[in-house]
Amino acid sequence: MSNKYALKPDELKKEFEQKKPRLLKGEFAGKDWWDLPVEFRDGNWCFPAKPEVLDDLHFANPRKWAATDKDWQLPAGWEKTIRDGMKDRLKRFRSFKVFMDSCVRCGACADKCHFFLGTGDPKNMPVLRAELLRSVYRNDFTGLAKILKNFSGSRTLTADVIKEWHMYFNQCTECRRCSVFCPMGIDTAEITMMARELLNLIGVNNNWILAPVANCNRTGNHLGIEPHTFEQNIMSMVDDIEDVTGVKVNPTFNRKGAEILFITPSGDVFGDPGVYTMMGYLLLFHHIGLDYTISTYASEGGNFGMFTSNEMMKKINAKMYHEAKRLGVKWILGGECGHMWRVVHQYMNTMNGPADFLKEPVSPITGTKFTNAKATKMVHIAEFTADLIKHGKLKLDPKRNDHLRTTFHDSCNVARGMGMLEEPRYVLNKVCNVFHEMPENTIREQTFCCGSGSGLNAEEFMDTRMRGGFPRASAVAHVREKHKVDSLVTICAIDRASLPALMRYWNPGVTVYGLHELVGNALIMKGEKKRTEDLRENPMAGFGEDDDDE
Amino acid sequence: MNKFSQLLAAIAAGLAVFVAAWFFIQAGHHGSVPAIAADAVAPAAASPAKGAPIDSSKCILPTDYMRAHHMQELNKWRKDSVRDGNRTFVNPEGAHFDKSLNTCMGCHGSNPMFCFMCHEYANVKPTCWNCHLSPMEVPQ
Amino acid sequence: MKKVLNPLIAVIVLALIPYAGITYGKLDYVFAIVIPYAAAAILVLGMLFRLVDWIRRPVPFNIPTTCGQEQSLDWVKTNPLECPSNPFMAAMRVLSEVFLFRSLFRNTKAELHSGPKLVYGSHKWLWLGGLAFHWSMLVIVVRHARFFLETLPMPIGLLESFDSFLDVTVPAFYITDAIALAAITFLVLRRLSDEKMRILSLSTDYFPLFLFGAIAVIGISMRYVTKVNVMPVKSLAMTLAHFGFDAPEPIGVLFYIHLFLVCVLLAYIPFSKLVHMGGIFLSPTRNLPNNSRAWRHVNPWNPDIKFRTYAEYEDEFREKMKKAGLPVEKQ
Repeated sequence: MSNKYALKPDELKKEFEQKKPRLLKGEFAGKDWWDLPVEFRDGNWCFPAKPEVLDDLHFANPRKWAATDKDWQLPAGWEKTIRDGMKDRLKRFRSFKVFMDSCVRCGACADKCHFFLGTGDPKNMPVLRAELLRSVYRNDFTGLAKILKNFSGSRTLTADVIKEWHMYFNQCTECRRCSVFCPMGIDTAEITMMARELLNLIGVNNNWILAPVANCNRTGNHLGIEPHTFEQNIMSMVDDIEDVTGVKVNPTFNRKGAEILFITPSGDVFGDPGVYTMMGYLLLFHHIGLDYTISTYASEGGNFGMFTSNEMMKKINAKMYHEAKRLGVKWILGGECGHMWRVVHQYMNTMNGPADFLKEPVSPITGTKFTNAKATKMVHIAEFTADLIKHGKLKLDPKRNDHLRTTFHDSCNVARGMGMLEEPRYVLNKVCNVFHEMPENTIREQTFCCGSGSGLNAEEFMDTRMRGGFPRASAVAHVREKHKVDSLVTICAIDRASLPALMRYWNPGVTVYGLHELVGNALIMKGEKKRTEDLRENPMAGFGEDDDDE
Repeated sequence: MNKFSQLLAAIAAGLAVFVAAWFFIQAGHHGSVPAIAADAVAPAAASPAKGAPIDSSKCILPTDYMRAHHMQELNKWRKDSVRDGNRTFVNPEGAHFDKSLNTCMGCHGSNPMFCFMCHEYANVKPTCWNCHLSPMEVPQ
Repeated sequence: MKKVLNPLIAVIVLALIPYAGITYGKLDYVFAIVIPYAAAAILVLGMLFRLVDWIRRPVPFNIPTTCGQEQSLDWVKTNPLECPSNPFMAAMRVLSEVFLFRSLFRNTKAELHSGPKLVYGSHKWLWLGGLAFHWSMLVIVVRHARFFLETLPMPIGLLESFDSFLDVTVPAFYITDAIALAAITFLVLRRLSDEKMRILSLSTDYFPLFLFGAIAVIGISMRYVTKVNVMPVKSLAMTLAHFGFDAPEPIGVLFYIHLFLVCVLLAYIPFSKLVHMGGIFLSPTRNLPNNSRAWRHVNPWNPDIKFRTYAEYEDEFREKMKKAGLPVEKQ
């Protein structure tokens, strides 16, 4: 893979070989972290949001600039804006205040961050990432620390500090892995969210986050797909499904009176390989005869508002309940996505609830009550499918996935912001025969991020992405060597968008799949033709034209 | 300076300070309490010890010193007399004492509460009475 | 290395203050009565302020870090402690953090091997050292109750006899004294010996360790080596415990150094990272149950946000939608 935004894999491998077994890169003896320079270069920063995007969102300080500029054209009085913004957030978020106050710098988090493991940059240790903000907090918001500046590690807010914040709070994917290991439960995701809110107040931002936010606001989805295109795209999948299976599935759009509203990330509608996962959903719903509809207005499960500010998160999320109410559905079913599920699980009902107009979710096929979703009234597709399989409602032939040797990548937000670990594994094991877990320190609640989450999946950010994804890639390489695994199954749209690049870089030959794509492969549909190809039109093993011994 | 030597320097500095602190403490200690010359002398003067007269007009060592150190003196007496057979204590003024709890009780036994007043007050349980009869148990 | 030496010097200077004050200034009353009361007042008021200040700030969202399987379908095995689904289990989770340092127990060490390949090993030393330090400190503090109480409650007496069960040395050797010193040494050395720890540590990380170390060394020395007359110490402690103001009888200068450093520590707690002793109870990633889809969590400042409604959306795209055969509300 050649790309001006990333080192060649061999060069990066050489860098790692040279510094091993050390994790840090460079010499730091006798240096304090606040003296280390911040260096923007190709591949380690994302393009800032275009002025028209900011105008669209009524965000501060629209201008043309780049992180490599010497002068970032910060607005007049930006120091006060940041200070007031910090004060306000300290007041509104106990989490922020407690996390600022109670870190003991024990260092347990230091080697838990995928960006630290990949870059060797000390300021990517979660503790120091938080200290970037904490050092200013100590200076401006605590009494004693200010007097003994060097002693307490506090410092004045300067334009260089802002540059440093921009660098390192955009080298955090809000994956919460550090928070699993922290004895105080300090969650760097929370601190990064605060820092990004603050940076947005003075126009320091990321186009790969804000452009989708603006799109989502206008068209209902991040990719800016207008309703007719959205519908056409799904209908073209219907044709593809018919080609492969001989079955014509029949999705409906914006249909009032449907029992269930289905919402999935727009990446599943437009991105490869997400579209195959979408085909899996469509097959599944057809298989069980589900009374569902898809909305072109609430056509985005994901929520890049989460990477912008809590107000923006709320604004984008509001469409889900609004549309469910308009259509008069009973409850909402959600597709495979990571941060979407953090928002749905931990924020949606608080922000836009209570959802009194919906009913407590009950599976129309099995009658199972999803009591764990009785207030939010939104069920995860993996929970839904696991329940179907458990009740024997699906006709499955796992042999149809015999051409794949799989492993499962837990998505950070689903694992650590929701706690759904077993259901996808249960489903996966029922639809395929070969499954091997990656090493235990890299899965479940200790899962590693793909390196591109939280709106950092930009092309121009490739170097940092490939480094940040290294721990995940290293774990995949392990099962690839040991068990010849060639298929990485995920339940996250950003994973499906970013892991293919990561695999091409580190582990060529490993393909990325969505869980429900494999479900779609395995489903024995009523009236189907002889299946010889999977949804990607790749031949299945043992189902070829020649071998009729089946 | 590379990181290793820095580390060594830091450890050395740390150790040096702790050791210095320790000596500071120790020095203060030796300066403020009487030297127990008797210990060194006692073995030499061991033979005439038996039946040495008990000089009961004064305590074996100054009162202030005894308040803080009596448990250690008693412990030493026990070891010397029971294990080593060395039963005579000579204090810096040259007075001889039998290394026995009875020596203490000779004076302090007149008040059965003598030990208990302080020990109860300070919530400290001595191990003496695990073997010896305590003055509280001895009929006066 | 100024980061290490400065706090060390600071502790030495602090130790010299009562030394000079007692030896040359005869300020026994100040160091025995005035400063301890002041320190206790700062600790109590300071911690109260911190706690009230934290508790007054709202928790807008239910954000537990889930470290195990959530409660979902009946047949899926859940992990009630790492992913509590009710407030009781969330409380258990917090207590397991407070008493057992559960999250630290998970600690691993990552290493880069050829390949390149990342390898993770279990790394429980920090857990062990931290646990040893905190528990022995707690036992030592509780043991000091014998100075402040008229009669010793049975549990504290038992604790003391367990702590001294080895029954070596006179006075009896306390195991926690050795554990505390060893743990402090370990905690200092680990900050110095690891490259990452050297970069991330601040002076304010070494300072409390040195302070604890100095307090412990002097305390141990007074008990086993240099000795003090316990009676005036006890009567001073009783005076303080009864909020009295009687001048103390003479006590050795070493005791005043011990007491003064303890006072410094107490007063330092509310203004430093040592507030983590309160923070851990209030950490929203640990003390909330993961039940936000089953019960609505209320945000007291939930802002009114104007979002783009379906009607506005349809107004923009109506013609395109009609052409594509999508249902519309208004023709």
